[in-house]
Amino acid sequence: MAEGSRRRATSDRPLVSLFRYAFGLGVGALLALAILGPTCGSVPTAEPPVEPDAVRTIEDFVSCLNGLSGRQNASIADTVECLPPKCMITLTMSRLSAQKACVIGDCQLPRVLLDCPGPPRFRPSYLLCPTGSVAGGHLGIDRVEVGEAVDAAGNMRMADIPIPPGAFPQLDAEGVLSTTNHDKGCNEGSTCHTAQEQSDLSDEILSRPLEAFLRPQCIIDTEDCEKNAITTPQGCGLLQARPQSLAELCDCIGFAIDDLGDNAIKALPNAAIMRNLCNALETYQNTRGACTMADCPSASGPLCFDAGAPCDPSTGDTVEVDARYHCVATESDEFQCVADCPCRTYDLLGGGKYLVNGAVSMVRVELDGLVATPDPGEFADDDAIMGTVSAFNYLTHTLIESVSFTSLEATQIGADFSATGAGTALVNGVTTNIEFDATQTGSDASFELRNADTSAVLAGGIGEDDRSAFQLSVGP
Amino acid sequence: MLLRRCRLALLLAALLVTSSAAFALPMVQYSVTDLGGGLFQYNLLVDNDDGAEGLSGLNILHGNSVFGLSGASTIGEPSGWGSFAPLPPLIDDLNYFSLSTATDIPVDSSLGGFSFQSITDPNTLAGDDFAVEGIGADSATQIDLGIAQLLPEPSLGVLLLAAGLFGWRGLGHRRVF
Repeated sequence: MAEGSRRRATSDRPLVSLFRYAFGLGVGALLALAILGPTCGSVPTAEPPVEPDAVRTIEDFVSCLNGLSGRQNASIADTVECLPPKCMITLTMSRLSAQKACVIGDCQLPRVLLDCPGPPRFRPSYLLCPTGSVAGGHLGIDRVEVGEAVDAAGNMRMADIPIPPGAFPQLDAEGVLSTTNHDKGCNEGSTCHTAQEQSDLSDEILSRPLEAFLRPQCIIDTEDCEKNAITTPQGCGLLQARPQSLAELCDCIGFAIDDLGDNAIKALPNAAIMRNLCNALETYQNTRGACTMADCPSASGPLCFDAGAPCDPSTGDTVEVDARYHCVATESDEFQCVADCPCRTYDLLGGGKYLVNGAVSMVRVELDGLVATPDPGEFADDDAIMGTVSAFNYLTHTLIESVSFTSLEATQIGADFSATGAGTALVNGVTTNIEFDATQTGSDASFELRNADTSAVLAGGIGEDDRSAFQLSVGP
Repeated sequence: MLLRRCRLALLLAALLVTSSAAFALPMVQYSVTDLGGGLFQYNLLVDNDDGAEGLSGLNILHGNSVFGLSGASTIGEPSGWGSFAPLPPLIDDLNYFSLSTATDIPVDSSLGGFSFQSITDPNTLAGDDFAVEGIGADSATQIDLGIAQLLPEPSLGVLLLAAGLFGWRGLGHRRVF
């Protein structure tokens, strides 16, 4: 038994030596890699991509986009994932840009401007027009133009990021910047908003703020309380611009593509990209954009001490770049760092019994929403107005219900206010365009619901004492 | 004795007729079902007896302040009618409305099917707690219907009629014997 064991041990020796040799070689190789790896660069040490909610700068945005690198069947629509939250959207039909709006068929295809609070203020823009605006060999619809504020005046460093359809590219953060070595997008030919001013710190070209180039008659929709959208069709250069929301634009594109017949949009090779980009931006607007979240830009903030200066809303500290937050005096005689265009909640409630020559109409109003407005006494909302209005006119047996509002405007002084809205309703079961007015002055209330197409009064009257009231509450 | 009983029966009959005539105005009557757990269902009957015009509406004036009704309450309507719940704290009324002239309550007829569930004990109702008003079907103006009346169980009329019949029956028995 003992002899057998010895024999086995003797015969195993070469194998053990081989294992020892291999082990030593492996440890040595690992040590060599550990020592030499960082210097020879053979081991990748890539930083994780910046999360969308943390994107503040051009470099952050590019880092986030590189997290999508390699994604197949990608397009410009994928980049919307990397937008930071709370950006206000403005739609312009202007063609005075390296991203020129256009009209194809019945659809307006504007430039989509985003304005994101900082610091620093961050301003990406897209183009829904699927033709033209070629720069660097890429169509305008396949590029994101990005501005980032560098000073309190809002001057920007800029980048132009091409995302051609196909596999999502790996981007070079420096390669997309507008510099003296390579003009990008909007800066090409000096026709856009560049001041051709060289940065003190680098070879970057700085551009003037976008506002100087925005033509008011071309803005067809905006969430920005410092801008006004047109309310009736207006001449915008060679185009005729008409008020239209992003949701309506996307519907127009979708209907054209899904149409069984031929049409100009359907015939475009990149029609699907246009639809995907529009839908992605609409989803962003409704889920992560300005005035869609509980923590949207606020009308109150941390204490600050440098009146009138740009400030950081997380600390109240003064910053050197435009942030769309400023240090302002509040009603409590203290200074707070608040948004230039804060988002506020509002509620419009009430109803009761209303009379015209003794004839009774009853109404119930329950509306609420979020709206960007610097003045709580005045606002206009045309996005995501929640709630409804119901009314009954006993004289005509007219029931107005399921009112869905597309716009609501109000002005308020103390408890007195007037509100005007428009939308669609079921009037005795028939879908009808309607207009709605409500006022409260002291204890006197009144309302009117009209057919928007015929101006016929559907219900309304003067409120009966103690049995009628409306109340408008707007967040501070 | 027979004559006295005849006079009594005639008097009761006269009282019955007189009492009916005295209530011959539009009014709202109600009964209450105890649903248990402190919840009561109020069932309303609108009686447009001898009204000046048909009715196309019924309003419970203190729907929220007395009965605690709101948009979350269980409210029932007759077929062809709709309702608006109170909207506290601004609007106290519960409003019922007839959706077409075909479902209005004509003069000299009545309509049930109005109901609501409330935690208010009917025994605590007092004063004008259960004030109601109608809306005229032709004029669309309000018509005061006073205070809703609890349906008597059994009603005074039925009691009087039963008493009268009992008297006649007694007379009949005496004749046979």
